[in-house]
Amino acid sequence: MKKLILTAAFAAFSLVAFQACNNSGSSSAEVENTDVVPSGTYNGTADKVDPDEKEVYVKTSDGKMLELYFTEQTKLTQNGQTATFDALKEGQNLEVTVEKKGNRLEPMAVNIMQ
Amino acid sequence: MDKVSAIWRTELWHPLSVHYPIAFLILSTILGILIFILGNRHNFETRLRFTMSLLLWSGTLLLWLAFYTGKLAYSVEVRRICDPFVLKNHLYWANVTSFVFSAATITDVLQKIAAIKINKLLVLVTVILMIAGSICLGYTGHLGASLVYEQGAGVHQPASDCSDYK
Repeated sequence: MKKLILTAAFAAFSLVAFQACNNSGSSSAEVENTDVVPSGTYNGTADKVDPDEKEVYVKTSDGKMLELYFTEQTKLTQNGQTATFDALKEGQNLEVTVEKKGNRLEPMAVNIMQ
Repeated sequence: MDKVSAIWRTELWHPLSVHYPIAFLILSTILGILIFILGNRHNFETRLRFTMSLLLWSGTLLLWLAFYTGKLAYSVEVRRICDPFVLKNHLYWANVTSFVFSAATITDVLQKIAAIKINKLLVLVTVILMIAGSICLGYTGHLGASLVYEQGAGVHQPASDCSDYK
């Protein structure tokens, strides 16, 4: 009985450790040191795109890193047409209109320039 | 407001699951300290050791479950709270706490297997890890409380004229 409990405990924690390592190596790892900028429109490139979180990191032309989580209000366009999040790829040039709410940047409009 | 669907909002699974590991792990830490200080006086260690281990093991598993539900809540709350940096800190310290208590659990499991000679050392390591984990847990809880009470995370905010409340 004692061996069974210990084996079960090791199995459980091996699973937890595997899951934890898997999390840390996932594509959704956060980028540190993002910036908060005033409301406005900015040009930059898509540094990292996370489809699972519907999140994009935009590196602006003046070197700021903006972390943008898409909401239901966010309008994504490409060539003047409404686009889905799948159209966003890393390295694309973007024009983003953001609204600063506290220390959060809400993307109101994102235009894929290329 | 749809009261039935509101109960099943994804971000509410986290507060539903997070309070059990907090209670279990704090209590196991208190027992660990008492066992270490009092030793086996009045059969204290013999009587409470099983309870401490049970609380630690189940608390750690529930802590990882709470971490998972927290990740689900993160995706919702990061889009509406005022300061996402508090949320990121909360997530970071929750991760640290989970790893520290996992390490404490592993050393506790090792004690059951290890020879008696190094048993005292493992008890000390386990208790130190549990104390460190509890400190991290306290700070994580403080950040979580800040999210809820200062920024209204997981709280439904009705329209200013209460038009959505029936």
